[in-house]
Amino acid sequence: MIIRFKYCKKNEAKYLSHLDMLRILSRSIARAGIKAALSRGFNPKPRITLSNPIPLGVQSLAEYADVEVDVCLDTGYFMKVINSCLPENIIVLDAACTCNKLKSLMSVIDVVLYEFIIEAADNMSLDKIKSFIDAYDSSSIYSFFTQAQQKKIFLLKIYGYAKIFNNNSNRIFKFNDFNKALKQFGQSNGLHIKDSSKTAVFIIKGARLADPFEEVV
Amino acid sequence: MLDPAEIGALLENIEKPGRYIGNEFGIKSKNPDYLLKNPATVNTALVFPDVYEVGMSNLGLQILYKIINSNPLFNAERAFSPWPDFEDRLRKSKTKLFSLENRIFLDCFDLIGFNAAHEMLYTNILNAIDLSGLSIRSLERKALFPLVCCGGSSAVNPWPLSAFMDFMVIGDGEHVISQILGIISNYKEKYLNNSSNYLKSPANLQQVKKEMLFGLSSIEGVFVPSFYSLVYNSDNTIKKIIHTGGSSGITGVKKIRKAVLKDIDSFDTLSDPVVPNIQTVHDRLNIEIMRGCGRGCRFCQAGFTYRPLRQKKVKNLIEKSIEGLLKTGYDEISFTSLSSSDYKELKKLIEKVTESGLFEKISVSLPSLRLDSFSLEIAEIIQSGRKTGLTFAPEAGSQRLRDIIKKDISADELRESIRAAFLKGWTKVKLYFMLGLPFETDDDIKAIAETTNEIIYIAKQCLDKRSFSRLQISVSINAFCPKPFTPFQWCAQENIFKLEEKIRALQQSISSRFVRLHWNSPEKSSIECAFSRGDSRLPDVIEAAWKKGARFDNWTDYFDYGLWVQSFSIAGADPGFYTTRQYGLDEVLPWDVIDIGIKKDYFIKEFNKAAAGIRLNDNKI
Repeated sequence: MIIRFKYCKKNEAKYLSHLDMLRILSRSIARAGIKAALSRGFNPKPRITLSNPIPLGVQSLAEYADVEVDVCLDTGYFMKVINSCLPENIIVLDAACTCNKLKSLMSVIDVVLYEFIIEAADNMSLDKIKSFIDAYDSSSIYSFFTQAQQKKIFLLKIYGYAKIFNNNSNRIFKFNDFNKALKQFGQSNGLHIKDSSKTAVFIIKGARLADPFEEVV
Repeated sequence: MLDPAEIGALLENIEKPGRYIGNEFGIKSKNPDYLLKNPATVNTALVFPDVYEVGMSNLGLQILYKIINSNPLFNAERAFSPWPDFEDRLRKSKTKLFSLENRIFLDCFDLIGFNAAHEMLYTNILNAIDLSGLSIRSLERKALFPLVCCGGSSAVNPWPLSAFMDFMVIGDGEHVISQILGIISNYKEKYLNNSSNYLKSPANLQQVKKEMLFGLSSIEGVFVPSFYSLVYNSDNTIKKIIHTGGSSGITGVKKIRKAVLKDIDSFDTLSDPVVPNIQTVHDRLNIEIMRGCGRGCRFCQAGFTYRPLRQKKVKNLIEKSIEGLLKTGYDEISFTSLSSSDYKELKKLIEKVTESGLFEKISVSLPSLRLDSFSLEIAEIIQSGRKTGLTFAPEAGSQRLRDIIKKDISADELRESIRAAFLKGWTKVKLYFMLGLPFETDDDIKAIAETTNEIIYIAKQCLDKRSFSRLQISVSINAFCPKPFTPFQWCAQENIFKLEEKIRALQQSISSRFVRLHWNSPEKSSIECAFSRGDSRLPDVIEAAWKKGARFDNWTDYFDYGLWVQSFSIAGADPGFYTTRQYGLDEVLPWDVIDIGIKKDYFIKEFNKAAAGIRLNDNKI
């Protein structure tokens, strides 16, 4: 049986790496008294797999993990105990349990959504942001969305590809490259990135973007 | 406190930022609200002067952290040495070193306590004091707080750090820490509100500070360096130790008696340590099973300074080990002590914990095993399935020299254990030896090669062809370093060139493809020796080295011998005086100011026995 859960890495927790998270989640699950199935071999480790790694220093509201367990757990109970056993700023937001075999998160996640809050010198900067996206390598971007939020504050949503498709000549969206380019562009165009975070991951289903929990239900 | 908005910019492009963020499971500090509502809370920064991954592996830090934070009047937070990239960032942005929990700048604490775990951390201690925005020398720190102190293994000779510390703690800290904080609490409360007037006069301030230090000096194990000084002879040896401060009317010098935790079970074994988020050096549950060691190897400082031997009750250990594994989520446990296979009920302890049925898989590690059949039995239990390797420490190659250093292993035992290990399927063996031991001859060094070759021969007899091809023997060589409070404290250290020559000779005589020879730099060992046996001239050397940029001297990449040689010369000190010189048996030793609980006569007797080549089972003091 597999419990798939979604968690966030807020504030300082964004400085913890993929490998750190694997260790932290394994220990938290053990602290919670949940017995994860063990891998085979001389040095068995709990069977936990994570969604795609994100760069160190980027906050995420949508990390996913699969843990294999022997008995199916009530997901409400799971969330309650695991949240009392996690370090600060790492919080499990949702969980689901299934008896089905699941394809690994890394193999199914197609698209990652990053949100940028951009501060601008004037109210007319939406076009500037759009022109930046147009000039950026479009083969790594599934789609994007911009919106004026308050005076001089803009929201930019980037849906970047998380993997390469056989029938498509796309590229993988690299957050650090994009962030750096946006920063540079901003310096000469009066834009300042106030905040950025990963907010969702999706599986492409036809023309629709699906949540990884759909696989479980 | 550091503004939360600043941490992002501070950590940008910093290597392993997880070192500086705290946020771990098991934090015990008071929260900011509590501190705001209780301004009289005494705040202590516990600093391990090495990088986070090393410091978080230290059990002493975790024990003191727990004791202090269990008291509602006290708050303890942790800090570690910033790696050079982060130090650079702190200095460039003019940010003071801060604690991990509430990010309080270190100069805002009432007490900063360093763990002087070994000599090669001394420059990091100075650097951390400086990064806190404080003067490194205690006499230049005029404010009442923070007081700066240190304790730990290398503090038994307090002089090299004496100029930087307001006070130092010798011995076990469990009881002492609460007594210290009690006194600080009284002063903090008394002067918290009316400090504006009375303490404004520098004379009053200094009087109050001196009074407080005098109060602290009455606690067992507490040494206040500013109350003592060394008077030298014209040949640079010590004429006498004098008492220069504290109360008037004290004539002669009262020795500082080491603090001893008599009932080792009176403090609960720590079962809920802070669990690091990033991988540390010893990333597992550490359970201390014994303090002290009953062996009395003549070169081993810890073997004497941590006496008496105290074994914890097995019932408590079983309970706390299981509790600790459940509370931390670790899947590895280490039973630590100076000689874990001497713990009487070790087998029972391991079996009860691993077979408790609560854990599917727990790996056990033991830091130190002896070369005997019992240890092999234990090793077989804990390495069932995957035989990772066995580590043995014969320390000397010949029986003659092992008798001299009182390392209680006979050549037959060694042979039989190795044979048994190969027959049981081990193919990886690690051996520790020391070079430059007192009374060492060329034959003793040859014996290291002979021992190694004999092991290969035994392996050939015991292992089948396939296993034999996997044979790996790792020989690790350390230079002998004479340490205070050992029978060899007076001995000269071998000079660097001779040590290097001996290493080369060994390299030539051990040329088998199965053997890998490792050695630690004799240069580093020589600096370590100078600080082990140093006097009140050494603070100038450390300061000079720190000013020239010495940091992380225990890290091979950062240790710079040339810089240290220059620093000795700037301070007008001769390193050879502390290293390659044989100290006189009748000389006043710098560490004579400390009463470690063993009389000097005993060490002289043991030294004479060593000189006569006598090995006696006499561990009584």
